[in-house]
Amino acid sequence: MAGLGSSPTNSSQFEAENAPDWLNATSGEEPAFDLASLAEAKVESQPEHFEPELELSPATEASRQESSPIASQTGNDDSILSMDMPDWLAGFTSNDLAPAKNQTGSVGDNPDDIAPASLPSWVQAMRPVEAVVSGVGLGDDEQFVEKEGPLAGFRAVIPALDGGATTHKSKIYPIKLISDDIQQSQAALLDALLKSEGVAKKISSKSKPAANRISRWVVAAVLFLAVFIPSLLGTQQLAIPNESTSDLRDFRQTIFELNADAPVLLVIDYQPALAGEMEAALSPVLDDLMLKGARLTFISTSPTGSLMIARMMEWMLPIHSYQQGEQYIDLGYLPGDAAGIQVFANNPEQTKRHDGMDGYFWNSPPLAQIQQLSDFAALVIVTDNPDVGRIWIEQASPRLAGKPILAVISAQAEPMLRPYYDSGQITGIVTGLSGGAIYEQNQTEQSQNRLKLARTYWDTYGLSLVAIELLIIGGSSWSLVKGIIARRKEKKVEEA
Amino acid sequence: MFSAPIADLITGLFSFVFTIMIFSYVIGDNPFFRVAIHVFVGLAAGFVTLVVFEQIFINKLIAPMLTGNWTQLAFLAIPLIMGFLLLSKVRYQKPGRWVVAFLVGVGAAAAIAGALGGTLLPQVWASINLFDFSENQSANFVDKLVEGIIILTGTVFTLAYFQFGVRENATKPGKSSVLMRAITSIAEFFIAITFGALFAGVLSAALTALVERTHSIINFFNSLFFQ
Repeated sequence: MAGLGSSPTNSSQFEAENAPDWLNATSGEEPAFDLASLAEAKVESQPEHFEPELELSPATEASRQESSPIASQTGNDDSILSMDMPDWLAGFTSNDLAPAKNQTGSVGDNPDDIAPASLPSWVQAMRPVEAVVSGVGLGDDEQFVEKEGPLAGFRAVIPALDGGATTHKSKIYPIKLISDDIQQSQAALLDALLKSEGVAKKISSKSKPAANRISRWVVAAVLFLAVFIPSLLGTQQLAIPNESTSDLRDFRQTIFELNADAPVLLVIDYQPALAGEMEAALSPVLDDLMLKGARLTFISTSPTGSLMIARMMEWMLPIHSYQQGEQYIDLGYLPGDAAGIQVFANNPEQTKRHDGMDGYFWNSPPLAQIQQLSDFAALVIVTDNPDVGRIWIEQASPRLAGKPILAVISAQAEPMLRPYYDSGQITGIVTGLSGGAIYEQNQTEQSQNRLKLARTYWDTYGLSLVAIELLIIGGSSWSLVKGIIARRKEKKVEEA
Repeated sequence: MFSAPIADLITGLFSFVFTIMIFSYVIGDNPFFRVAIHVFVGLAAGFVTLVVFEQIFINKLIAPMLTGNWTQLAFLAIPLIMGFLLLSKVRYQKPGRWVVAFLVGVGAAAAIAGALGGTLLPQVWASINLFDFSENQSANFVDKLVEGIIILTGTVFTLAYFQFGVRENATKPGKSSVLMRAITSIAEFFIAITFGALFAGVLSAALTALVERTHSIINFFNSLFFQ
């Protein structure tokens, strides 16, 4: 404390000697505001136990004096403050300070009587730290007295935060959302949805109801009986239509217009599963072709095609005196799908050149004088697959040079292949069992003793078809009645 | 090995037994059905292997190699190498990739060219010419006209049914127009008839197969006991 109190006096003496002229001129005048004495007065009013906190090390003291020489020049304070003095300091003279001195003299006697320092508003505005540390509350003993600058002598203008000051937690603001019941329920629904996404659901095995099994057996039993009884009895009572459809008429017309030993290419592309239907449709056609003595060439894009050809010829050979390699030949399997058919259509001889190790195909009588596809008198596509039929039509028709394309197809392929007949790309069609039966019905007297497969199946087919129609009608009616009853029950429950 | 009647008997017996085994699926999945299916699949695979070996390897590779000249042999080397590369795809993916690309490219090109020239253009042309009566003056004009209108309506409306694009604006976002909805409803009628025809065709084919099998069983028993 002594150091602080004596330093202004000593420094004023020293500076008076070494001060420049303009300072010496002002030094003789009475200062308007003696900050040094004010600071001295304030320091005296501080309690004694505050002293250690304000004690500065010699180095710090020296640096402070060095950095602020003006602070030590009490004689210059007035001149500095008079130059740029704020309003609250204006008119503040040493006379005004005299009572303060008197007051400070009595402070030591009764500290409670000390009136709190009233800081001007602009100084208060410079104390943002106070807002933060308002809760801390510095005791009088912790207050720091400014010793330099325009605030010299003021206490606790800037709180001393030398690391010892404690901070307090920031206020916790409530984060509760204000929401109504609908929003709460929607949020709960969304939450439930999101949670359910992550939960694996158990896939319950669908147990077949007993009613389904029974109805399946009933349907199967009805169908078997409808098929089995007419087959066992061998009835041929149901009549076959005499009038041919236009596609069938055109087919037969084309066959009749062929020359006696015309070369005909037959594409056998059906699966063994539908052999019954396809053989019934194909057998009368083959019968007519063989009656005419046509040279038959078979080929297939299905690996099982050769089996079907062999099976079909087993049916036909006992009736007609045809021999393999003489009147008919099987070129076998043609690989490559659409590309293979295109290559074959472009150059049949190069595509199917060899017959195993036996030698050359194309010297055989059925293929005599055949160099290209248009050398065949007709192309007959026998298929149960609409795609196969379509590919053959697409790839072969440009190479046939107007020669007719005929189709013997399954009933399941008819809806897809009929447009080719309507557009004129196919000359005639025989469709399924019904087409075969009508074809057989209209065959000439010469072929009356032929295979007649379609006629054999006709009654069974007709009766079982009636049975299926009745089953569908009965099932639909039952479903309708069941639906009406269920609807009435629901209505009753709703009314109740 | 067997005389003809014995061979027929064995063949008929196998045919009968396997048909009954397959029919047993009516009562549900059972061992008899599974055995029959496995035998069928194995037999079919074996037969296809034999056919491919004979028709492809022997007829198209070995026989030409033995009988062909140097030029033919040189050309045969190309499919041979490609075949080996394709075979290597079982273990190594890379070498066979360009062979697969070749197969896909050639197959697609042939199919597209064929579809354009053999289906699309002729069918469109046939639809356009529905009302051309110049070549068919003697035919009943009214019948032909009605038929043409029905076919044209069915074709155009069914194609329009598969037009799923919609016009979008600020007031009506993403909705079909009233006209398109009307066309779609009419097209559904035609499509329903087509589905009905397809179902009837499949049913008819399956029923004929059942009839043929039943006749086959009865014929077997007839030949066994009554002939």
